[in-house]
Amino acid sequence: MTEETEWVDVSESYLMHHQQYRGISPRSRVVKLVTNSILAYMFGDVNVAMIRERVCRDEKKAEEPLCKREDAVTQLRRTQAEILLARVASSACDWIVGPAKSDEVRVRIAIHRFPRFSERHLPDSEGTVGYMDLDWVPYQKVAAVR
Amino acid sequence: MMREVFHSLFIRLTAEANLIGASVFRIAVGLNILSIYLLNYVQRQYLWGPNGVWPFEEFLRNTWFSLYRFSDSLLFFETVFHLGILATILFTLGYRVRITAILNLIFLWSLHERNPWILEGGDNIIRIVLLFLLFANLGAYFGYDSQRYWQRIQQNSRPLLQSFSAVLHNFAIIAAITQLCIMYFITGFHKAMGEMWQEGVAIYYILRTRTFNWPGVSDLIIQNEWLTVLLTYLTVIFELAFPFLLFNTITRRLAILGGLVFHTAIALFMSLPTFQIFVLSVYALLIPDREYQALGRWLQMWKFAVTDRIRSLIQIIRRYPILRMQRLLVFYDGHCQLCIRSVEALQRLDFFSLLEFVSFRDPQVIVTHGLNAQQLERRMHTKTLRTNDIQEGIDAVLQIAIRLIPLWPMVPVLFVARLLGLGQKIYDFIARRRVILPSPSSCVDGQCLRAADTTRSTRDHG
Repeated sequence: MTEETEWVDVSESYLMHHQQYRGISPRSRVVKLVTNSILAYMFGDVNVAMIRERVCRDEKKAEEPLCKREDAVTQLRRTQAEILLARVASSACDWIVGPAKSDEVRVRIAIHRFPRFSERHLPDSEGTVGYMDLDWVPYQKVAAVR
Repeated sequence: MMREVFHSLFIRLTAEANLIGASVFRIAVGLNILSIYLLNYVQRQYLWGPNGVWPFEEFLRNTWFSLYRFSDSLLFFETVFHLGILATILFTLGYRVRITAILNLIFLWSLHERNPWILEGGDNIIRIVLLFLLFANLGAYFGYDSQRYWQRIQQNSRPLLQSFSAVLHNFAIIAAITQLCIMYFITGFHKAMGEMWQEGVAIYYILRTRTFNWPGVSDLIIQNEWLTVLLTYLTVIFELAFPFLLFNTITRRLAILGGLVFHTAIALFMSLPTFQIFVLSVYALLIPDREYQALGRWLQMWKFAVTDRIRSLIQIIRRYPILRMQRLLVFYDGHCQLCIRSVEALQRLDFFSLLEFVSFRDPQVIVTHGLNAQQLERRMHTKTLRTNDIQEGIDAVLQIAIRLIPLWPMVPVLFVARLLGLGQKIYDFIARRRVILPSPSSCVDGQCLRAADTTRSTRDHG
């Protein structure tokens, strides 16, 4: 019988390790991997995103593929990011439910918006959290994170 | 006039400049690359392995060159990865630098291409700079082949080749510095156009992001409005001004000093050490040889001055009567090589001349001090000169350790070991196994005297 687990915060342990050792940690590049893939999923290529920011200020260009994030480069980066995130999740499932015991994985990107500069005295918990759920994808065998 | 100008230009171009900086760069970059390999060693299969997080098929589809392309077997991956480590070590040590620099870059490039999703800005800049510096002489100083290089220069056997090589070297150094300037100017320019940087609040948003946040410390900066705004504007000003500051000696030194502070702060506060070390290693190229030599002379003078000051301080302390009262006579085995080496090491640590070492193999010693030869054979003895107290074994070791400042961290350990009775047992275990090689003076006709025999013969003679 297939069972669905609760959401598990995968990146938290990587982040804590990275912070604790001030970037001199074998988890620091893993943090970079997760961050880069989320950024690629949301914004596509960094350079294209910068061009988009300039070009799409003009409302007449709102329907162009670049402004709708449907250009080839953004699409490719997004697909690659989905592949990566699925593999990050698959590897994480190995230590959550046991090696190769998962059938499918699903990624949820949590976006925490901490208080703006004018409210800088407020704690992180006063910010807002939004979620982006990706589709279920088959589990893949990936080397373990140490 | 023109001829003189051209001649001077020719002389400058055909003499390799910034050789010390190039060698410092080699060591700094080499160690930093090595740290990437070793720090991520346990993570290597996840980050770069054939079954790693970035699928092998995607890697093949998106990369045109990488050594890791040739096979998806784990054995092949491990071989290439470890050869990469070896190439980096040889490059850092300055062994056949012209060749190992190429190999190091090929292996590093291959690693970067295997998983481009984990790269930082520093990885990109160092790849470009290393490519330029393949044409530079990175091994003239502090390297395995440095001496050979200077011998070759003195022989001047191939002057044309040397001149050509020098021109390439100089242009490579200029290209690397230009790359650094471009990096600063473009990032500064982009920042200057950004809304958050214009408003002076960008540092707040960077330092509050989890990846770049230092819990408990970042808050000290970002909760201070003035500091946040000041640091934001200073960052943009520094990056935009950097290329222009290099044209004058004084401003160049200021730029280097500013950059050192700037990148050390980023490394520390934003947890980006690798990135910052890569950028700072390029700084080594900004300092001409004559400045390195002046710095070396200054450090040497400073070292002498400090050493002199410490020596005179020690001389003053040595004269204190309370310290003189702590003097200790140590009776050691002069036929035991381990004991002799230990005595030499202890003498170096005896800053206040509190220890006097005497070999009990000296025929006069046992009689003069009224010691027992058999016990001396078994254990080292010490005698406090003020009270004539005799200590042996672990107690003697403890007496010595108390008098030598560098050994103070060991005193509690020795004390506890002595209390538990373990210390004496360990001491006896080592003492019983020491190798005794009598000195030729104590051997007559192939017969060598032991301490007990020495005592007897001394008494007989007495």
